[in-house]
Amino acid sequence: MSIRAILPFALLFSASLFAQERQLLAVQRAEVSFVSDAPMERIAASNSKATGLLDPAARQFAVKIPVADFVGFNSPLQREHFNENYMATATWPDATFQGRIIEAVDLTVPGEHSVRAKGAFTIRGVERERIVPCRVVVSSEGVRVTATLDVALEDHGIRIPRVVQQKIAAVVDVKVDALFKLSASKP
Amino acid sequence: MMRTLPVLGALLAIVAQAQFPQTSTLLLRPGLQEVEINCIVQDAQGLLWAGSDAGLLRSDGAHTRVVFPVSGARVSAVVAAGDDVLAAFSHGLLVRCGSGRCDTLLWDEALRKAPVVGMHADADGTLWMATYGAGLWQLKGEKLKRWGTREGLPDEQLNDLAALPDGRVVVATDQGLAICGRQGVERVFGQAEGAPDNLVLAVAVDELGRVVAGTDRQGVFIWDPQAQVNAVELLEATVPMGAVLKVATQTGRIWVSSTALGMVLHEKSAVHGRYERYLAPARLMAQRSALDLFADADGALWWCNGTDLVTRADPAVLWVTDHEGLDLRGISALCMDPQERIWFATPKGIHHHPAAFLDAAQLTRVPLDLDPRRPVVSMAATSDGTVWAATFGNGVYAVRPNGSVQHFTSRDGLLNDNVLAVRSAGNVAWFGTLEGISAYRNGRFTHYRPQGPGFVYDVLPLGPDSAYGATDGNGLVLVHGAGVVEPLQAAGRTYYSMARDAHGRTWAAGPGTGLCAVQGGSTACIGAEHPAFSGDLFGIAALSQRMLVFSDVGAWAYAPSSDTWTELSAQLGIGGVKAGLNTLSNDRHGALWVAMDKGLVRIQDAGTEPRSHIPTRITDVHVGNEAVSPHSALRTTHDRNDLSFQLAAIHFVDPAAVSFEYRLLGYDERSQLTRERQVRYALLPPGSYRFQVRAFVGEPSANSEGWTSFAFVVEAPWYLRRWVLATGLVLLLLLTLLIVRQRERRAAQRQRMEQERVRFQLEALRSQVDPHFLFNSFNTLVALIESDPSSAVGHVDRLSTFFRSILQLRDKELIALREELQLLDTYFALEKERFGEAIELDVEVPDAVLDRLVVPLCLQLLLENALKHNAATRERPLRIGVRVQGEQLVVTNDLLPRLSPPRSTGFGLHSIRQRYAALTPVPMEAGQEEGRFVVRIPLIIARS
Repeated sequence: MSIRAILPFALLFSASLFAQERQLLAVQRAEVSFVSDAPMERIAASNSKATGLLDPAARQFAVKIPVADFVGFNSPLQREHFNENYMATATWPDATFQGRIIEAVDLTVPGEHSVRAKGAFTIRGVERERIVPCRVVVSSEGVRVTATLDVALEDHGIRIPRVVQQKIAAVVDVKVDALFKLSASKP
Repeated sequence: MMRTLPVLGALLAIVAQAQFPQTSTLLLRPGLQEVEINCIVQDAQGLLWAGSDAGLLRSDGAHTRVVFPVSGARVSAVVAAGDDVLAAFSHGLLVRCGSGRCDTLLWDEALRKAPVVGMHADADGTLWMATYGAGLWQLKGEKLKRWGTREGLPDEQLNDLAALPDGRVVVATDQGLAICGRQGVERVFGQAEGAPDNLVLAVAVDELGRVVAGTDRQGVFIWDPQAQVNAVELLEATVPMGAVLKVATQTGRIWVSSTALGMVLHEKSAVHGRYERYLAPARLMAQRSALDLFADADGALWWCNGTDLVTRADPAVLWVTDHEGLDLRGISALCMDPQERIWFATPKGIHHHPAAFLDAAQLTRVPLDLDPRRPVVSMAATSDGTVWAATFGNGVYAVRPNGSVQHFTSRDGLLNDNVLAVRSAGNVAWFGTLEGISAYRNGRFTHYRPQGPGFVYDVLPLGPDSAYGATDGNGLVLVHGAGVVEPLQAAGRTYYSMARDAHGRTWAAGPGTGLCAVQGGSTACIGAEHPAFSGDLFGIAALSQRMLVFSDVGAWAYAPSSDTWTELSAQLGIGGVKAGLNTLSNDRHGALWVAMDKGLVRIQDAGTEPRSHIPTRITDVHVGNEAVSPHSALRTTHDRNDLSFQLAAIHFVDPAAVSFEYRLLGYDERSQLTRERQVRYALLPPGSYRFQVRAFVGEPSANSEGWTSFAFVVEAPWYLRRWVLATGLVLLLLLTLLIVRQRERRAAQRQRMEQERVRFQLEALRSQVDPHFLFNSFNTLVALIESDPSSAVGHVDRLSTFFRSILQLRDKELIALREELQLLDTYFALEKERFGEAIELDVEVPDAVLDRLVVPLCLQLLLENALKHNAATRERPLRIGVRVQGEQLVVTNDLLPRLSPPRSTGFGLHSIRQRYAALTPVPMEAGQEEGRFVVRIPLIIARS
């Protein structure tokens, strides 16, 4: 992970960055996938280019997913439609989710937690307040976060034409599996 | 998706047994613009305010206006503060709107990142704001205080705010609840203190001062901050409701907006004291949860869901349409039993169920097969727990508490198998049949047969021994004892239905009778002409202090205390119903259950006094295009006399049905009717006016109450104002006075001139008849008579001509120079006789000026003066010249002063000068020039 990828979020944590004791975790590897289960077609795609930061002390996080990097569609044309017609990745290249973990869990002590991440979830430039239940496993490997969330396309201003309504689900299931590790280089 | 399916399944199962208040949906769309409403509130005037992505809207349900437009932002919270409404926008602006205008209270960049999610305005003007990300703000006047985690808040991301009765506020945060007073955070209540969930999304305070909190995972919990120990009460959650987005409280009710179940009403049961849960029908929610809710002044609850539709739910009216596959729209009879259960008969049989239609397992069907052609028409429960079901054609069934059923027909002693009504009094069941009234006491029937055909539509027991009967054609009858039938007055009438009110009075009604109060042996009826009785009567019932009348044209409530009728059809959602008789039943808590073609409805008295008129508001007043305050009197000028009024009526039950009656006192006393919500008057003449309006539904009220007024004055233009007119009048008077005085002065002058002239003439006359002159003339005459008698005759001739001329000319103002010269010649000839060679007259006057005018006798006077003042001798003759120089006649004479100057009055010259001064601006001049005396007399041009 390059420092450039993290930079946009650095501002968010400016308070944390200047604090001496605080340590930031960065996304080591992440797998974001979605499934659109419509009556006529099932579309699935995944993305491993997500970047993000996690402040274990403040329990704050920010994750960015470059939408254009989703792969695994049923056809290249489908991917093109996804990027151009529905997600308009040229205009809004990233989906972001930034917020806090509600539960007071200690992310430095190994263990398993069921928590809620509450924050602003932005797709296609439309921001929605979301509370996402997550499973957090803290181990020597790092902090692993897995979550699923439903995304209603209408909530983010994504209009599905009538002719393809049978092929694209109104609510898409999104799965996230991310591993946060102590970032090697402190900015 | 798979995960949500079980939830949806559970939802559908519950929706199938929907019991929920009557709802109505209003479209708040300003013009054609689609908006997304995410917060709503009602102001003190009763108007609805909505915060949307188009700005702040105001509506009376039928007309919606953008009061404060915005683009690129939305209203994130609204709150009513007195007559005003405060709105917080997502871009950091806080405005106060009211009285026709909006003011900015605050503009803070911090609010752009952390929008206001909840507000509360104290009575003393303190505004509390909960922000999502910047903690709690308190605005008092210009002073702004902020409290965050440093001040003790568990979290700065606040989700909601509510006010406690003691003036403090409670905020919902991501880390629990916090109570804040004037001095700061006073108490935190999170998971550590016993809250079931840290993530509190919504908060409200109930009438007991308890905090009702909506959480993300644990539904709704109730926490009493006044209690000694931190204990919470969780609202029952047999089916999880998902995240709770908003809560609202009313007395005995908690409304919850949830993500999984939509709108849920929790109502404290009058039977067992726990909260019963009623779910809004799925069609109302349409996958959208309510984003904001509030309880209005009438006890109804409103919510918005991010569209331009807002929903109003009236808990006074609770509907059940179907339950466990039973169609409750086909109920033909119902009653309440002593165990608070509802018994009802449908074509499928007789059932009973607890009053809350929630649990399918509680529905019990009586094992009894009914003949569908002989339906159950009336039911009643006696105090022993027996429920009596009366059929039309098949007698009555008695369902005993142990479940056994007994059937009574005419063979078993019943008067007639065609029963129309059954009522109970204690342990006695009373039946109205086609032949008369039967009473069942202690296992025996007693019969009461009225006169005539004996149809009895209704029976109302007065006790175990007596009852009123409503008959067909025989009016009301009182039956008692062992078969005694006493006809009351009003025989010949037909009554269908009877009811007893809270004061124990008996009321009866039938076709065309109106609502009749039965007092002793007589009836007093009112409202026979009222629309309530224009259709087929279905029944009457008592509800608290009011009498309700149901007919196939609608439902009305009559309040005997204020003698007012209130239309209920719109509120109840009925109209044109077809229902049988006797499907009305009061429960022990005062609520009325009615079976109608739309289903089973429970009506509770909302507690509010019925209104005699619909509150009417003048929301905006415009003069031309300029908005002015509708709450204060207006003065406008004569050229700004184009006024328009925006009207609103607070009648959310059916806003579209409202009409307005308006008038402009001072202009036209007659009322006009309109359905428009705007009234405009153009080109009003100056004057004092009072615009009055009142709203009505149906027919305008005949009384003179309920007017809402706006007084204004159109001022007269400046030139018509009183003080201007007064000043003008004074000026006119002064001017007149001035002219009069001027004229008077001129008249006085003329009079003086006249006197002058008279004096002159007198002087002239006196000088002509100067004794010297006469003496001289007579001496001359004597001398001539002796020497030359013929010339003496000539002398006398001349003398007489001279005196005649004087007499002729002296009255004239002016005479021609020609005449004056002739007179001068005559005079000179007379004097020549005396002086001879000693005087010479030299007249050189061109003919052209002979018609010019001079003052009469002036030349004669000058000649006489010259002779008087000068010594004329033959050696040094006195030469007198008369010439014309320019526009002047110049009279000159040599200066030959006498040794003894004659006595002179100086009148001659002065008199001539005066007269000329009055006649012409050119003055007469006199003086010595080169040794001669020169007099210059202006020559006046004769006007044709």
